[in-house]
Amino acid sequence: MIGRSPLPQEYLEWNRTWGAPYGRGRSALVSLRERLRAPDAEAYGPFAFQPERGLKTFQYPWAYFTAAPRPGMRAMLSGAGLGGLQFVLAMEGLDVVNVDPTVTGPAVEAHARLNEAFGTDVRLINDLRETGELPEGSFERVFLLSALDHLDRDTGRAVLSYAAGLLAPGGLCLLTSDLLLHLRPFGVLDGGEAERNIDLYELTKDVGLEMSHGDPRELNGFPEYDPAHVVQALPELYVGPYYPSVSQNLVLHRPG
Amino acid sequence: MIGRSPLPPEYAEWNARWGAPYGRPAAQEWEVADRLRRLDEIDPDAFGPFAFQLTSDTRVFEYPWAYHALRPEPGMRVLDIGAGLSGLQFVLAMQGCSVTNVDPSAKNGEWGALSAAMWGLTPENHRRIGDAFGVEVRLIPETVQDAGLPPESFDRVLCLSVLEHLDQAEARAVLESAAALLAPGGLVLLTVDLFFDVRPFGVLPANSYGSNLDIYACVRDLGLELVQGEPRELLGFPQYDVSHVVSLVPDLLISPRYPCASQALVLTKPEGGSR
Repeated sequence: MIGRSPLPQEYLEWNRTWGAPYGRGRSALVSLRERLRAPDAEAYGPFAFQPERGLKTFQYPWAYFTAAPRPGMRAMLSGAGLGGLQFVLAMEGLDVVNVDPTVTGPAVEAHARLNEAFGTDVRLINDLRETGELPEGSFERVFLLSALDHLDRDTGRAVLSYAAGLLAPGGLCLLTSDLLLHLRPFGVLDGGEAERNIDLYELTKDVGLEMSHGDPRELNGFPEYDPAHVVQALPELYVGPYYPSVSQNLVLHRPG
Repeated sequence: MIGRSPLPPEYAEWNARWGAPYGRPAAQEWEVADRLRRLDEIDPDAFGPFAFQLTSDTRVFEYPWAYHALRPEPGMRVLDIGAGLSGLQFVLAMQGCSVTNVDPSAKNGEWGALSAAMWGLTPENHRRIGDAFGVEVRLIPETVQDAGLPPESFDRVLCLSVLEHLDQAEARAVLESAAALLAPGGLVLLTVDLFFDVRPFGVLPANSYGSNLDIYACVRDLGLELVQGEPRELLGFPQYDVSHVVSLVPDLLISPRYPCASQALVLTKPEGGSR
């Protein structure tokens, strides 16, 4: 399915509770450097430390409520950067790992600072060689929130296959992908390497997971995908306020 | 016309000279959220006049285009509509122009308070930037329609990437005022964003920033004549050709942060009335 507007009331309340997706209060008026240095960095909320383009307003609460997290669960987030969801899950008692090779240099210190500020112990793996330490079948939840959109087909499939292997039987993979409305067939631009609408069918088929949630008519690349249906649904869709995109969402599970 | 990429060399040189459109390198070292603090520590040489306003990427074309089309001269009377804290008004004042900026976002009130908090747009900040660069630009915190300016009192009227944020009727009202304020023989210089996610190029009726305006409906029958601008590339003109614009896409300067380009045109008020 594609995210709808208006957001369900529980999503709005969740966003309010956590200051998602942009951070609380005056976050936008204080530089990231200052927010991180602040003795009360936690006052900005866990979502104040990663820039967002707007779709996360829907994606974060969707992922949270669909995942139905419980204390003690093990969760892996891929490409979560300094995003707030990893800290929220950890604050709620989950055992959280963030695999993100783009978190390097000062961002590593920032991640540690946020763990300190929120009293959490999210493990950051930024060296992909270390991912071998994660046992197969050891996670109940895997989150891939718009994390595969910038990868080429083979790399995206490799990441998803790896994530599938990490899932415990019955575990869920929460996946979102941005659908860009200025690119063909919706607009006149072709996009390119850096910006494209990925083929979700090619990405997800034969990786050992089954779709348990998602409307194939609204998932780019699926045989049932219907751009005309998407256009017709536009008045109901949640369109990103800062970039012309909607969020395709699906849940994959590892058969028990 | 629609702004092309790469920029003409003289545009690139002009941007380098003035640090347009984002400010000079020293200003860019500051995080965006720190831009308001730049106003407390203005270093005119290090920052340049363009360091104080968040700006869209199409300005990399619009500012030098407007400057070169405007052909500033000392004593020239320039009206800049909706200029906020942008640098061009100060550059023109440094060239000896007499510059007036009408911008209702600088007004007190709810919208003005938001502008002050988010953009730093207050009369005080505007004055401080002018002082730092040794120039005086008059700021009128009103719409151009309500600014109370005398008719035909400007040689140039600038309105850069403002109209697309307004509805069709208000955009027309702004240009009616611009036409009335322009002296015979003067020029109106317009840029209007062209959004590729919005009809007729995309599937959205509008986006968070505005819509694709019918420019022709805004400027027709105002007693102005088009002197620069390709009607095939200006939305709403009888000669407008969507497929031609699409064919130009590889050559257009499209913002990397939002899929839009910049339509640019110059209109004149003929001496002795329009033909």
